[in-house]
Amino acid sequence: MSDKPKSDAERLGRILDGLAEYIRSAPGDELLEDARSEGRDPAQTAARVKGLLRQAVKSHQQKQLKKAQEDYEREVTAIRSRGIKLPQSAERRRTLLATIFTRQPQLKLAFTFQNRGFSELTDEDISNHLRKLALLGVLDEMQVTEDDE
Amino acid sequence: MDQDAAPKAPPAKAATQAEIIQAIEALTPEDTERLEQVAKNRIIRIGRRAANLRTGEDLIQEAMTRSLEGRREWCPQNAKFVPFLVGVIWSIASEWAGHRKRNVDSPEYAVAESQITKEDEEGNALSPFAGLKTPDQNIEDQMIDAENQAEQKVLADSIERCFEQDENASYVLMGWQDGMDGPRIQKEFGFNEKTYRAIVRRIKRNLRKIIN
Repeated sequence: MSDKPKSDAERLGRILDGLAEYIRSAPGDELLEDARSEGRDPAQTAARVKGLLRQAVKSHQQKQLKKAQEDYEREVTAIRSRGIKLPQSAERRRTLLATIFTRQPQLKLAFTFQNRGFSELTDEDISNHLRKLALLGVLDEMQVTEDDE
Repeated sequence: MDQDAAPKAPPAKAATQAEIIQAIEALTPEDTERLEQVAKNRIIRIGRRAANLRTGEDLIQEAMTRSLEGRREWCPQNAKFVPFLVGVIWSIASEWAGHRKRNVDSPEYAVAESQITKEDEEGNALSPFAGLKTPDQNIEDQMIDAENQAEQKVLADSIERCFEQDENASYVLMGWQDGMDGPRIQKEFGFNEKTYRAIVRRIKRNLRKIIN
């Protein structure tokens, strides 16, 4: 059954579609021959087309890198901007750190005390450790009550 | 458990970036020629307005970008790289053509108004759109579209005229215009595949000359 084109654009379009179907499935050597007969050098075309594809890969990789950098910077900013609330008294801070290490003993190993016992830690050591733990989100799981602050 | 059930094939895995890069490096001159020719063909097909100054090269790069971003997925188990990329080029061109059709008024396709501003009798700048009631398409666009249509008619007529004396080529052109594909034309007009391809190449060569 014939399906006549409705416009000149469609008439031309169908011719181009027919040619495209040929290009899609034609043997490669015919395409090379056609290119040469049009005065084009297939080696130059290969270099140019591969260059275009490589350029697209490079742009994509740069975009990925930029996004990773932005994500990292956003994360760092979020961590830095987080308010760290520690108990106000040195005694409560010491108790809080002791509680954390009791609940998560593996952290005690990560926060090496360089041969110093827990009791030997200064108040400043304890505050610093608690701040680091807060940045890691460990304190989120602990209840720091109003009384503690 | 249903013992008769066929084992499910594992889902096709999308290519990694490394696999895509490897496929690019493995492209032969035949492959790149195919990509080049398909992209050029599709740009002519959608017309210069829909292409909106974009070229076949842009089309190839866009196809690659979409594949890398995962908007189009290449699964090496299902398809070879070049036929996949040709398919993506084809569909992006159709998308550009469709976008232009749906957005004729979009500034993306508009000619700067300053380029078509006229003056009134007193020399004041006057927009050609002044006084028009919510036009669907600006005058400049209408003129360019009319010009495009005229060009397309001239081109289609020229192609037909070029092959008036070439009976076989006329049959192929007629078949395409009637919506037939290659195998159907071969069957309908009694061409074998080799003859059909030779006729198509003849049309292709002459079309290039006509367009140039």
